[in-house]
Amino acid sequence: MRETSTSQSSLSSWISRKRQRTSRTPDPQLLSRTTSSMAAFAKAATTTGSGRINHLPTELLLQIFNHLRSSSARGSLLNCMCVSRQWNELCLPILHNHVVVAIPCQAPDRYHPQMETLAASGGRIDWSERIASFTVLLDPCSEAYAPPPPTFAERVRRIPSGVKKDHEGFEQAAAALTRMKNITTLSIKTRSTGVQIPWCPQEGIFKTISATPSTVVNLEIDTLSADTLSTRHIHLCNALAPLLPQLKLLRLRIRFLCDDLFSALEDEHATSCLEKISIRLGYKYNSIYYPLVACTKRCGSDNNAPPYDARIALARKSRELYEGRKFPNITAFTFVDRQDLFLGNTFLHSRAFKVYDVIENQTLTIPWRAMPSPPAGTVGLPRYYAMRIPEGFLRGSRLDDELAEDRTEIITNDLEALGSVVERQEWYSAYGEARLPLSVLYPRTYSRALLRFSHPYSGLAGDEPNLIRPSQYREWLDTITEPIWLLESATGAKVLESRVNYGFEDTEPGMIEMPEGLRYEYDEEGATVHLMLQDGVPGIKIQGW
Amino acid sequence: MSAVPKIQLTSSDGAVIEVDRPVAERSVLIKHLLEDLPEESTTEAIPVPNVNEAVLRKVLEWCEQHKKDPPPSNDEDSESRKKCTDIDEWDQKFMQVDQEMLFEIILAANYLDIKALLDVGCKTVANMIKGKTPEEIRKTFNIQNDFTPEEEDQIRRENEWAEDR
Repeated sequence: MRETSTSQSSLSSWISRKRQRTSRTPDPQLLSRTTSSMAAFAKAATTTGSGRINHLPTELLLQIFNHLRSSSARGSLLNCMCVSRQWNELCLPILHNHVVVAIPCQAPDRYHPQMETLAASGGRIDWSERIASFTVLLDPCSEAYAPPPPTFAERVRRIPSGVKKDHEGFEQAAAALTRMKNITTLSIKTRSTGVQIPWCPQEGIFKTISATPSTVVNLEIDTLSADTLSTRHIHLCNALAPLLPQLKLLRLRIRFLCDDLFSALEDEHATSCLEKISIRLGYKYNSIYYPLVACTKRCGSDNNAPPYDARIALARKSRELYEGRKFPNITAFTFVDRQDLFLGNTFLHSRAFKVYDVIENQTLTIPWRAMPSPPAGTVGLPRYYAMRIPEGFLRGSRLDDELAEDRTEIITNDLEALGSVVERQEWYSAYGEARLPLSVLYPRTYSRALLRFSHPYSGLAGDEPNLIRPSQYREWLDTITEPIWLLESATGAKVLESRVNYGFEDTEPGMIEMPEGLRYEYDEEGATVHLMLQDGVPGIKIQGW
Repeated sequence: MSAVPKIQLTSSDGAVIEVDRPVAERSVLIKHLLEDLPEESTTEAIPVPNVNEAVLRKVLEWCEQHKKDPPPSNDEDSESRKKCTDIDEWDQKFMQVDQEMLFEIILAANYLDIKALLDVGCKTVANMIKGKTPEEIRKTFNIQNDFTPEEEDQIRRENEWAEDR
């Protein structure tokens, strides 16, 4: 910097002289000044590369470090901080501008030094006012998964302490968040590794969102791969709604969504700032669609709407909202619902559609493709599946450019018929016997795959529990070949404990749809699930149990 | 061919270099200077006191190559520019110089206010840093380590959380 300013002045003196047109020969003084500044310059240069970089003015070093801001280079930034004290001081603010805190899910033993640093007020590092962007990353870290718990019971036993740690992490994040005076972007997401996170600390997320400072204008919640069905349906709508007036960008990829949020969006004052809204239900990873378990319950209501009714309602609502142009500054409004069927350890791509497509285009596009081979040691599925086209539907096919694979389109002009297929989830039930309008034909030997609906977080099956309707319980139960024990509980109640080895050890008990007459209960923190006879039910006879 | 107006620049070591005015005007400093000056005085060599002949020629070589580039982008783009460490092929070749020259070019670009060149320079250095351990970085740039191993360890521990993983 010093050299620059000296020479700048020498140059400006040259200019001023030029302006005055007093002299046509260079001022000897100018030359001497120039040489003196050059002397410093030359000195730096002659020390043959030794620390040459540190002779760059601070602002230029900062420019260099700024190029290391991208996420892929952030490790390099940290390395730079360890190089020398000067570099440390320069890099720190850059590093803190965008902070990513990872919360290793379900890893009770894992220490969160980063969270402690964040939570500690007045630590050595004054970070809170530097942070412009804060990302809380739910991390399905290897610690949480290796080695996988050998049994379901152990897996479940492990949840409480892990969950506790997760909640602690989020509480610390929320506490830290309130002190970030200059934060504009808040992002809560799952690290995308394709691993489903077994337990979404929804309460923690709720708390974190509730702590959002008023300076935040960009909000992103992307926890789709973490949300699993549990008894704790904690909606984020209530935390999100108060934030709407301050937001410019809202991006949601969450599992639980009800139309309360859309009701909040209808308030024009609340949405005057919004420029972009993106709500995506369901997501795709490795060409697998993960389904949304949406809006089965409205906020504060126990009213269980049929998922599809609710979903279609959401889609309609979003469209009404958008077409009503409730948002004065909106530039982008995205609402996508993708839904696929999970079956067993492979994935039946029976649907991948936007609800709009269904409503507007009256078509469903069905991927027609080879199934991946099932992992060893699990109940497999055929490599191909077949479909029977329901009456009133036409079949067409086209080559999908993007995926370069053949698809079959089911086309109908009969919206009612299509609606009923969608809303009554007949796609879901479209396996086994040809008892549904649309059938996907499977060898009977694979019917055990039914059980795998209870595997949400192995990324395999899990979906709405009412996939299996009461009328199908009997069939469902018939498919159970592994032992399920009927136990006597301490209180004398009949308790069922599932010891089914599903091939994948992880399971969420709440996912198991109860046969009529049975109910289940979690104990505190969901460590154990008890299946019990409902009150007043004297007993049920189920063959095979 | 009335052709392109020429101007002269004097390097710090006294060399006078003649160059097309539009080429020299890639430097915002020189551009403003020329705009400020009365027309006739541009016939005289402009001193560039911070830049020696070798570096000035190198810089002008870059300016010549990039004389047709669109004018420097406004601030809005600067954010995206910062994040991207891609350098176009010609520039990459251009930057294959020893470290001393590299830093001289950066200093000169900064002094002469040639944003795009400064960017290329900084990106080149950033790319030299990428993927290196602190020790490798010190070696590359010959920087004295003024941390104790404990301090270095502490920095790492304290800041790991800010690292995107």
